[in-house]
Amino acid sequence: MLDGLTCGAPLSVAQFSELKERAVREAFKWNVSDGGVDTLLDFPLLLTRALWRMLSERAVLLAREAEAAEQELLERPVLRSLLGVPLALQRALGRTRSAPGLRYSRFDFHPTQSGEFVITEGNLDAAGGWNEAGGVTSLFAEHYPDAEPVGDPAGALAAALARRIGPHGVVGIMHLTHYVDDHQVARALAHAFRKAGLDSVHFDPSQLRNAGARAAALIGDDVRPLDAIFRFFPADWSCRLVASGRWFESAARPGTLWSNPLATILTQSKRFPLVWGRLATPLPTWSRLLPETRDPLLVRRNGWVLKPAFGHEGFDVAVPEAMERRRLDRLWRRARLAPWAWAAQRNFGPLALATPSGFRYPCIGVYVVDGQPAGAYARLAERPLIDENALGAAVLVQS
Amino acid sequence: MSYRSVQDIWVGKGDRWSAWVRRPLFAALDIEEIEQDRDGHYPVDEASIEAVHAWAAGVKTALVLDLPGSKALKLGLALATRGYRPVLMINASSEAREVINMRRVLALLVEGARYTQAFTNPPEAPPVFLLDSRRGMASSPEEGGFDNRWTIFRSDMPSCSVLKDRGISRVVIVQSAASPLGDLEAVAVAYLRGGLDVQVGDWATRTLRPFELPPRAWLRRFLRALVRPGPARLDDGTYGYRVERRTSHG
Repeated sequence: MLDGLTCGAPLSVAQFSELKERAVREAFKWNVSDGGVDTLLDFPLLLTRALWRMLSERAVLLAREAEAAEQELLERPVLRSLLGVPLALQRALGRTRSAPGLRYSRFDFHPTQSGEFVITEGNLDAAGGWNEAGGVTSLFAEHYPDAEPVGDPAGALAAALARRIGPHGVVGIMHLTHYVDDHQVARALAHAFRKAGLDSVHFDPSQLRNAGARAAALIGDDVRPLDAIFRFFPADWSCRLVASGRWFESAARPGTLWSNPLATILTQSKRFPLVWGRLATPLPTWSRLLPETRDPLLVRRNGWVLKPAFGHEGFDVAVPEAMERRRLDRLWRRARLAPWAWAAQRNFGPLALATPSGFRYPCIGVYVVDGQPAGAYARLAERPLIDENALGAAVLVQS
Repeated sequence: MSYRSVQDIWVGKGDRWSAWVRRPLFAALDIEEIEQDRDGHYPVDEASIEAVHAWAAGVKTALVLDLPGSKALKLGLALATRGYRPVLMINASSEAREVINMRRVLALLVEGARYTQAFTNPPEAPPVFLLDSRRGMASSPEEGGFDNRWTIFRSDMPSCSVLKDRGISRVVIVQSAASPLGDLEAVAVAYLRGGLDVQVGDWATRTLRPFELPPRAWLRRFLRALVRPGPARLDDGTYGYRVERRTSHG
């Protein structure tokens, strides 16, 4: 059992039902159910203030070290080429450095059987969970008078953007508009931006254009210049856009602030640890918290978890305890054939937590916005793999 | 009538199908604007209703209306008077300059909520799932438009076991096309393999035929890879290459 981490008492059926309805309306959490099953748990995770302080301090250090490593990697193309970043994007990174950046990240902490917390990666390029960590968490907090949210990442991002681009600035929220799970995030962020006095525009990555020194969004027939872009679109996908050359050109405009800048893809790579030994940048927090990582050609399968260099939502992550042998074999075969696109990570022995729904494997995502801790939300899974089947849970700190 | 009450009626508090009702369109409801546009005249010819109703005769049947949005809603509401429970499955958002015009659909959501008797059938009433066959209408939407195309995923629909547990043994897909769209076809395959009787009702000819398994998956994947236009979500909800879309019909 871990010190400082417990579960709150579950809400009654009526309370939870009302909370979900409010989550849909007030927090833009439209997918409160999937396949007829709730996507949220009916209880929050409760952290002691000491545990929150520890996790948030670590997250801030991780973000700081990653940014320093990213700057060094931008200067070292040979090391960069080992990260599995698509070639076209690698070439574009030099040009897009001219665009200023405002960084946010989310680090997912997993409790281990040895009583520690580890991370398995950094979500430094594009991270979700904004609706859950903000509006949904606030709704849960109303039912637990002895606990409170640890922050609102969307509000923190909006405030940081307003500081950088000034009031009434225009923020383009780039996302796959036709995918409503992504659009609900865009709507929640637009709501937060509006509260901070910012204007926002929803647009698909294919609508990115430029207007003089600024990047812009093609909206109808108008090219609308943008003061900032919130990119909810993984950088590694940009190479697959039909006009990627033109896209990178727009992304290099110096008059638009990017959150996140494209260079965050370098530390997002699961292969990032493979170049640590050759970096001058010290990475003590990463070294302490991330399980050992190796090239998949250099390990035997037992005791290792296989991950795509740029996977999303746990897709194609090979965890022996969480999948059938045939699928595991297929993933390892793919990794042996194209090792540059994969990383092997030592299995760290995750700890299952006793919850009102039975034993669940938790991970606590801690947001860092512009160098400051900004909030948290958790996901809990029945298997030792956090993927799209994991359920969301609010994170509250005990006051 | 507020947007909240419209949503409440369509979702149905405590209704056994409410967990499947998709929510994004309700967030786009501007009641005042819709009221101004209201023409209040949404006829569906009786013969069509009777034809679809007849396809469901004999055994407890779930209907899936994959027709152009407003047509699906009108027919769904009309079928509610024959004992069905309309379940909105349209997972699209709506904004200015949208690729798929949702205006009529939004108006029908408000109009439908006025027919409260459409949502008061007993809990065991069979569902009529309302889709919009325009969801993948253009493989390359007009530049600058708000891309609100969408895809139905297998996890969006009730599973085979849920349907069977609720006494449903047949699923009838009502559509105007020769065969179901790729995403709905995946759902139909799952239902067929799960032991449900899956039928396809042709809206234009008013004929019913059994759903047949499509060509092998590896061949379709190969063909899809040849025409992939860019990244999006895969059929199973994960990130990857754009899912196959066919041109509009109906």
